Formats: sequence, C-alpha cells, structure tokens
Amino acid sequence: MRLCDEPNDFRFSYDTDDSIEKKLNDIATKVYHADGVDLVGSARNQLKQLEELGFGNLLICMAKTQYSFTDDQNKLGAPRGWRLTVRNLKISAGAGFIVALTGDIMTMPGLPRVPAAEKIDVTADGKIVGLF
Amino acid sequence: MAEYKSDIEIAQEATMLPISEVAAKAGLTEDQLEHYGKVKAKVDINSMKDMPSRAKLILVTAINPTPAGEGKTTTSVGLADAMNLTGRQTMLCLREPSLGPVFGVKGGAAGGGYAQVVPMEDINLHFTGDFHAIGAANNLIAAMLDNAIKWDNKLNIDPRRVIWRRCVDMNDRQLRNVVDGMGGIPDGVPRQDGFDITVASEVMAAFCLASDLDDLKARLGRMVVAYTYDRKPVTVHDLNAEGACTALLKDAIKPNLVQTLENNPAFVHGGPFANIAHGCNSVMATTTAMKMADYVVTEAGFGADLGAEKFFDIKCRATGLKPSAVVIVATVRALKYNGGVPKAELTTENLEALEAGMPNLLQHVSNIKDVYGLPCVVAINAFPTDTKAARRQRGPLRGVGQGRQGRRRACRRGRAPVRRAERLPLLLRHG
Repeated sequence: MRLCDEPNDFRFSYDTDDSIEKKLNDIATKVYHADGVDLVGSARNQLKQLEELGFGNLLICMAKTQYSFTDDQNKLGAPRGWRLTVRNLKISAGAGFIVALTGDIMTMPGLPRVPAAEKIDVTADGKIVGLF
Repeated sequence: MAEYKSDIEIAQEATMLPISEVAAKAGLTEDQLEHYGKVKAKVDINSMKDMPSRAKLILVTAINPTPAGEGKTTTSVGLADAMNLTGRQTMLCLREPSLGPVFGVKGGAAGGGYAQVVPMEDINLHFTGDFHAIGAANNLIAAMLDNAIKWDNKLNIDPRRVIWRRCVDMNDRQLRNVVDGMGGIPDGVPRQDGFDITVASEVMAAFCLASDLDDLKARLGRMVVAYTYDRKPVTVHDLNAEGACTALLKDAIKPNLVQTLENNPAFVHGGPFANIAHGCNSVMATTTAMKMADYVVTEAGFGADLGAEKFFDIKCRATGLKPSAVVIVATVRALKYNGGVPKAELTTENLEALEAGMPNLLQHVSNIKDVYGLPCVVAINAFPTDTKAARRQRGPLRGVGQGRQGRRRACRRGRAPVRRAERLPLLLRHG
C-alpha cells in the first residue's frame, strides 16, 4: 500500500517513433539483457516491407518462450552473452503492433504426452471433477 | 505430508453470493447487469462512460516460470481479498483461461487454494462464451477472405500471400499447417493454410485493446489479412467484414463480473497468451474497474520479461494507464528450476540451486525498477511442500534493497490447511 503512494517515474522501454529494428533492439538489450538482435530468414525482407508500407511506427509484440529471458527455453537464470533471433515479423495493424516471432515459438501449441484432459470428468449429477 | 483439498474441491464448497450482491459492493446497480445465470454477469460499461478514473493500479507479474505456473492469479486474488479485508476498496481484473492449457499441461486456471475466483468450472470451460465469439469473428474473416478469392478475386489477393490464419481454442498441433480448399472447382481455391490457438489471434488482441465498440470496429477494419499480387496489403475493411465481426462481438465485449472465494468483485475478461500475444486482460475491464474502486489489482501472463513488458509498453501506452506498483511472484520451485534443477526433482530440497536461481528474480526486479521506473515488491508464493530452510534462504534478496521483511497484517489470519499458501505469506520490500 505504501508502495502505491510512492512517487514513481514510469517510462517505456522503447520509443514508438524509432525504427522497428531499434525497438526490437531496445527490448532485447534492456529487458532481456541480450547483446543484440539477429533478423534471420524472411524477417529482414519483412522488416523492409513493413517500413515501406508505413507500419514502422507501430508497437512491438514479442513472441518468445516463457521459460527463459532468452529465446531458448533451456537457458535458465539470467543469461548474458547471447543474441535474440527474430525469424518472422507479422503485421497486426488492428491491434496496433508488429508480432516478432523469436526462437522456435509457435502460435498453435500441442498437447503433452498425457494431457490434463484425461483426468477431467463429470458425475451423473453434473459435477465436474479433476479440473485441477 | 497432510492431505490437502484440491482447488476444485475448495471452489465447489464455496458459498457464492448472488452476483447482484457482489455487484452492489462495487457500486453497480441491477440496471447495469446482464445476468448469465446466478453467479455471473456482464456489466454495461456505457453507463459508466463519463465517470472519472480514480483507482491506483497494481500489476502482479512473476519470474520465469516452471510449466505449472507460479501463482500470479493466486497472488492477485489473495492480495485483492486482503486489501478489501483491511477496508481498501479493491477490484480485481484477470484474464479468461483458454481451453488449450485447461486440457494440456497446466489444468484449470482461476487461482488456487483459498484464493480463487468462482464459479471456477464455468470460468475454465466456456464461461460466458467470449472466446467462442472471438473465434467465430476470426473464422468469419477467413471464410470471407477465401470466398473473395473464389468469386473472381476482385481484390487481386495472392493466395500464396494470405497471412490470416483460422483459429480454434484448443491445443491442436495437427492443425498447425494444413492444405484446404481441396476437392475441385466448387470447393474453393486450394492453398496452404494453418490454425492458431484463439488466444494468439489478432481478433483477441484487438478485442482486448479496444476502448469501446466503435474503436473495436475500427481496429478490426484495419487488420491486414493478405497481400495482393503487387504486394499491397488487403484489410478486413476491404472484405467488408468488420461490421459483421463487431456484431458477433457486441456482447462479448462487456466485462464479466464474478467473485472471489471471499465474495469480492472481480472482472475476468479477455485472455491473450503472453508468450505469443500481449498477455493482458481487456482494456475495457481495467479502465472500468479503475472507476469503481480505490485500487485495481491485475496480472500479466508468464514472467515479467513477457507479460509485464507488454503490459507497460503495449497496454499502458495504448490507453494512458499508469501503474502505481508492481508485485513480482516467485516460488521456491521456480527459483530452483532457474538454478538448473530438472522438473522431476523440483520437490527435493536443494539450497544451492535455489541460490543459483536468484539472479533470475533479481534481473526481473532491476528491470521493473530501472527500465520502467516503478516501485516493486517480491511475493514468495509458498507451498506446503517448501522446506523451512528453503524459505529462510533469502540472503541475496537482502542485498538488493532494504530487505525489510514483514508479514502483511491481513495475511496473518488463521486458515484451514490449504494446498497452496495464498496469503502472500512473505513480502520482501525493495527500497
């Protein structure tokens, strides 16, 4: 509660007016503590195309594994000395951002070997069991 | 180890108040509610359009998690209940769970132990149908897009450059890449296609960032679905689809009101994933809650590197919201995981690994303070399985700030044994 009353100096991690590459770089270096960003595959062409189409001033929505600061889910803790790999840039003009797909993150997950669904059931009187 | 009740058992034993009584606590009248059964309602936000925003906003985020999640929702609910108990009028704003994780690794998500939002089964399964509406809007666009290609393709859409994907709210890797439109001339134009999970769709993101129905329609219209043969973007507006899509979403867009196990009001609305989308509940729920209470507690998905970053850089920037404080949730389990302990051994005491995982927490703390300029506290979400020695080991945290440790008054109340300690048993303050 006391914390809420403390004056704060809220600011963002990147400036909207900067280039897409600068924005990606700001998130990667300031928040993820990477050394920099590598655009691979079609990402470099996509970046050029998006800027030509006038989408360069949109926000960035990073798509990245949740298990690590890096784009590799096996690098735990607070890794240093790595670079963020961006392999795809997709426009989301309605949301107002560009989605940057990093590492091997996917937009359709799969089920594990034993899905939680196997434990979920409903009794004859309609009570749900095994949801958690 | 003692037997503890499961989350769903605790939730099913709860005494829920009729939603009108919960709404009254938040200053809402019967006229402002649209009932979905006895304990769920959608709230008419238009009636509150001109009210001033007065609340202080508290964001709950976490360190990099283990696959089971570290209890941001649990902590958020516990914090909001504790604040209400100590006489501070507090609203809670959470995301709706996706069916993907419910049936996948994680199971249901509506908090844990005695810090849950209820009706837990409804919230996890279908709820008020918002996600189905969002999926339908997404797939209407897909149908109209392929239809436009089939009927003379007047928009000159290059079928190889369609970027719009169909969606379903299920973890279904079989649909990641598909070829559709097969069968011959009457059955469409064949092309490579694919499905995303609904919570990764742009409709979900636009829905959660929209400030009202008009803004939603404008956002849907701007969405790029494909490129033409000469590489010009084709939008939903070009397909004339934004009106029908908005019609599908007209009820979904109203925030859902439910209650915590202590009968305090909570909005549960919108739910983009934080790893592949922006990870925060709807702007409409948050801005409405800010008018109804003195404090609003909200959460952003996964670790602070994803959810909190997007909460600040996307949601706050898009809406002008300014957070007052941040809570970073950590568990002994996740700290050990970050210290290199394999998943199967996380329940065994390992103080060395705990120590080795601390840099992850410290980096999240310094990001919140130094990159975003916000005050923050660390909340250890303790499990009955944590050992005493592990709980005591806070050495590295002491070095960060004042390291003043204190139990929150409201957290002290005696409670029946819980499977997860949900009362923020330990708050470490960083000066």
